[in-house]
Amino acid sequence: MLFNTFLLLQTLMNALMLSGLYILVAAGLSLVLGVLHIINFAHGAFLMIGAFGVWMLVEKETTAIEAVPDWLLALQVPYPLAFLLAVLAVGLLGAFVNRVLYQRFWGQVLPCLIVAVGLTQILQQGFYIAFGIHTKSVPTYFEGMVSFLGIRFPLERVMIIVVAAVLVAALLLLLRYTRIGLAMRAVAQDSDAAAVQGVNIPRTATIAMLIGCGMAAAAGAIITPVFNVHAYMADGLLIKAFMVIILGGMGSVVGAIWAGLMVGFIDAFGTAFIGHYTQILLLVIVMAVIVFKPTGLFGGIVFEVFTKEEERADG
Amino acid sequence: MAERSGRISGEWLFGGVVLLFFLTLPLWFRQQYYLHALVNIFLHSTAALGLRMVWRTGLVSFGTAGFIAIGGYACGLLARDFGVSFWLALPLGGAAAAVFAIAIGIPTLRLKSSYFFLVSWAVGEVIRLSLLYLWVPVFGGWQGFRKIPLPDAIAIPGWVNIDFSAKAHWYYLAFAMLAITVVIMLRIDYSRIGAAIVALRDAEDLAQSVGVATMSYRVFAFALACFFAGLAGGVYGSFNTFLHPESFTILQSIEAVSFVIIGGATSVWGPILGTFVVKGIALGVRGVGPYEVILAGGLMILVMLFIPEGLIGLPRRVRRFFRRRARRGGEMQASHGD
Repeated sequence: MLFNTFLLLQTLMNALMLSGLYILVAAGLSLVLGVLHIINFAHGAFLMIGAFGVWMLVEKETTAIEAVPDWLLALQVPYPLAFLLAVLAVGLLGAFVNRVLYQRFWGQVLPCLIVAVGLTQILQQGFYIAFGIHTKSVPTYFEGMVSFLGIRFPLERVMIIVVAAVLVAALLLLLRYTRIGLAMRAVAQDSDAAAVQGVNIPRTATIAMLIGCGMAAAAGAIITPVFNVHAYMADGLLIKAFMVIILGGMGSVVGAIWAGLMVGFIDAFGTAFIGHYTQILLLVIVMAVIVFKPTGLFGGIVFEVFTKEEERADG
Repeated sequence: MAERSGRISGEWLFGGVVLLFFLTLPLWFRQQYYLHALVNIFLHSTAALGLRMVWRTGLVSFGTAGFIAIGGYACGLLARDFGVSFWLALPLGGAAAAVFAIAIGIPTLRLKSSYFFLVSWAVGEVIRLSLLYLWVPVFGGWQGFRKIPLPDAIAIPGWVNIDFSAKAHWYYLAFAMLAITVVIMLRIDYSRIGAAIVALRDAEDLAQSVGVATMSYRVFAFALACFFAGLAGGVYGSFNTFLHPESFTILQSIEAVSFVIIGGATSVWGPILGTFVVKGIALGVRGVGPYEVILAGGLMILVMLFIPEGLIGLPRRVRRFFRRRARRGGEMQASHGD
């Protein structure tokens, strides 16, 4: 009985950690989807670059299996500074990508998706070739354990929850109380009407990409002590993030929070009790939601879901 | 008019030479490595040709690898465990993929392209994970699907004996499958169905108002795409005598999409060109191997930016560019004359 309680609490903490991570990744993706009306397939690649950024900046050593070049060994900054630098660099990279590539395909969903896919391939395989096939690990900055109701949970995992909560709360406050947040909500609702009201759409989109990709990098940077760093590390996370934004309603940040909790809890408890079938179960749930309630379980209608015929049939 | 018909016969001549080249290739070219690679290129082209139909309806599927896997596993299962002849199991494998595609497509093909992209991705993942974790005694799970038998020999005594022991035999099988696919796709393109599919993408409202049933054409295109993906999977499985779910990840689906985008979907020859460009460069130029994915990604972005109709539209663009320049040059000379 004691063992069961222990397992339950441990799984609960894992569920919270996964939820936080999924929400953090999905919130940035959802913001970009809402404001730019595009599917930023490269979100996972930005997350991976954030993780690599931290690995490159913090203290590391040449291991038996892999030699790290000298110029990389020379870079040794404290973890919090590395975190900030990685987030800033990836955010700027996202803004740059928006200016150079995505803006040219404004309003064209499929061409923009294809460009994002091409960019993802270049970034992921580029990092794969540049940094080798061996996974990297980053020494943890948050040492120690948190004792909680008789279970011990590593601080580095608690920090994932904390960072996710802080950043998502900051994003919600930004969207709610600032001028740029208002502009983003306006563009998400109706970009033409927003433009008529004098919203600078390219600038708003660039800032949305800056924040969205920065949040992806923050997710990548905060998980480095827990998960291994490698070029294709984000593939699994990206599909979870897409599950979250489907369940939460596309482009809805608030919906992403509830959906993130749902996916995180199903993932953690499912993996603990029914194993690998959880992933199939999650995908089937998501497909069922797309078919039966495409506007998501928690959000309002942000995106047009059906092609024109169906809209007419429904209305 | 004379010049026009002359160009058409020139195209026929070019096509004939290319066909002759590929038909006779194994007779005078015996490097097994390249024949093996060409079999794979033909299989990729077949799957990409199917995917082109989906792209022409204005959607994109990121689940192609899953449907290739269904075809491969179904064909292999029928041939290995049920003793069905490969020549019957192959179309049945394709049909299994098509039936699954219809079941998935009917509820989801009416969604917008961004939602359908996510559905197709999820479907591909569900198929891969199911093959990995479900019915492990049958599918093999992480061990992979083993011991897929070779196709029955085609033997005409005293003339040919194709028993699929040599790469050249597989080369002809894959080439024949690609050729049949091309012929079917050409027939569809120049039929009412092909016209309706293009009309749906370009002007859905107008097409519906003249009585084109959106859904049935989309389901048809998706089922057809998955049928050919399944066929490619069936040959792939028998060719390697082994299948593994990890060969059918999102990366393989993206690869299929990239062939269609890079080559272009306006013509049947586009996806084949795209496959040959990406796979051919990776194969022919030493040391490009690991950069193949980067090459495909870069070409996809460049094509989307500068030649949205794909590399197949490049000759026409070049021709138009020079004609315009020639005309402008002529105008300048004329103004000088004045």
